[in-house]
Amino acid sequence: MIVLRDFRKSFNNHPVLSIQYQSFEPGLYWIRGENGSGKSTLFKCIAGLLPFEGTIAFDDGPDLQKNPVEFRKRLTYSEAEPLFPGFLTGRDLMRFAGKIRSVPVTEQDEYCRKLDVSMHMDKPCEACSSGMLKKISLAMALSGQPELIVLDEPFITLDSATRQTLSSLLSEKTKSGAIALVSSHEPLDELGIRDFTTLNIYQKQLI
Amino acid sequence: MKPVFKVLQRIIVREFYREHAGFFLLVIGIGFGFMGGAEHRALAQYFSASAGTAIIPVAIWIMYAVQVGLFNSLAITKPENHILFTFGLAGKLTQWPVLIVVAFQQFLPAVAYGTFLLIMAFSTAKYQVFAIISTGLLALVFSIAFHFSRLLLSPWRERKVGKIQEFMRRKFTMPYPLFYPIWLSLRQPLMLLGVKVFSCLMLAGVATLYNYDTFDERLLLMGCSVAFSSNLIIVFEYHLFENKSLSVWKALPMALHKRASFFWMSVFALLLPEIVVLIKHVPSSIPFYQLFSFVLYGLSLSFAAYAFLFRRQINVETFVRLILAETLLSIIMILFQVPAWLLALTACGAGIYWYRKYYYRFEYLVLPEVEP
Repeated sequence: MIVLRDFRKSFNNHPVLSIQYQSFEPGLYWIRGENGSGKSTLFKCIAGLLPFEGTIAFDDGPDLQKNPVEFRKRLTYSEAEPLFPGFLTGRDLMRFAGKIRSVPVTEQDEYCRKLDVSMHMDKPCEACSSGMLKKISLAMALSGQPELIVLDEPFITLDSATRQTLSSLLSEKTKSGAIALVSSHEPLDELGIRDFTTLNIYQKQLI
Repeated sequence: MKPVFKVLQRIIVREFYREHAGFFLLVIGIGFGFMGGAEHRALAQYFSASAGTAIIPVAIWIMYAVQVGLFNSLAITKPENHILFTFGLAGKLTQWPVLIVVAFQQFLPAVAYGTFLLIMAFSTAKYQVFAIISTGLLALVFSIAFHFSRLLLSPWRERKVGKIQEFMRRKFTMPYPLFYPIWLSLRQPLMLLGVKVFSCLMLAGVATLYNYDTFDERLLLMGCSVAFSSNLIIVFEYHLFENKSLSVWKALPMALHKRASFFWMSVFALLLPEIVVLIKHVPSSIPFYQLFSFVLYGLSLSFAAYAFLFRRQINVETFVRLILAETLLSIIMILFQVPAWLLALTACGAGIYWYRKYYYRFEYLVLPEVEP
């Protein structure tokens, strides 16, 4: 379980998120909200990309502020619009992140195959379409045994077959005890996902 | 015509000079700081002495024109600049005068120096040199304008990956310490070349002075200070690379010392030319352990500057001003006989402190202008 306690995020002293308490048990969570409501900001804070006030921690120990490395070992993150240096290939990135997170090469390749991106892994990112970059980013986020998977708009730019695959992979991961936080403007049940909890970001709070 | 020109000038010309401000400051520093009128005249006389020597400035201008072309290619594909494609719909008579003026403005530093060379060539009746330089300048201005007009018509050319390249990519995975040096050499080749040429010449020049008079180690250390400080602009780009181009980097589970080790490796690879020049030209009066402390000082200075950038987001102009202040301060300290190892230790200590304190607190904001 992960817990957000007294969580606050501001930009230039202008508060954008304020969450008193929120816990996430293993399972899939659909984080909804209007454009600009703070979904991506919340995800970036949880992923450790943005500083914040308060606590984000696993209930059995690692706190993002106090144990940044231990917390990150349990987490993976995929951006809404992944941006990678153009001269690097998907394989370069996958191997790099995989080595740091100790994900076996066979497992990295397995996720690339499942997401139908194996054919494009040796192309430089600048030669890849936005859909391909998205798949590379998702393969990096899903491989390994993350306890917390944070996916910002994972279904955009994906073809329908990969959307189905992603839905089943997310269900598999959450059944095996992972927490998946997913933002999407499309209802998850329309994407074939059945078991999930919906949370709304409304007036800077998670309801 | 005027509104069209105004938009292009703001999006292309102004942005070009803003992005390359560090490079131009460096050139101005060399041109109007280290070199005097006599040196400028001597250099211009050398360039305009024959057709062979006249090729040297033209070759440098070709590199400059390539950098302009690379900048324009990147600028035009930015989503916020898509408005420029409407310009491609204008007639040729409207397009070309604007494109030539824009190209001329981007090429202005080369044109200014070229005019100086033309005057020198004309005054010494070197008409062949005059023809080479004037033709070179005109051809390059027209090439930039032509390239830009092609970009407007087909901005996103299909990027094909050759079989050999694909084979190599499949066989070898790029190690992380090479990510940044390659990214920089593709993104800012001119800046990288300029910095390397300047710092290597500076070190070789200072080391040569020891052949003509007796100096203690402080002169070479001052040369190292200037050379390594000029490399700090590369550190600024590293920070940009890490926080903007590879933003997922921060979310990876890595201890701070491991993150820092990647920085040290990348910077060491980029400082290799200066290290080689130092080893090759080291005066016999300077022992090896002192040379080692000079190199350590250069690496520590880079780390301190890198860690400093995590305190708060600053723009390149502010950073360059800070580099100048740091260089002056270190030269004063060297004059007061502060040894290289102490400077290295201070820089390293400050770097570790800033890095540990600010790394996770730092927030990179994508803003059009960041106030210093």
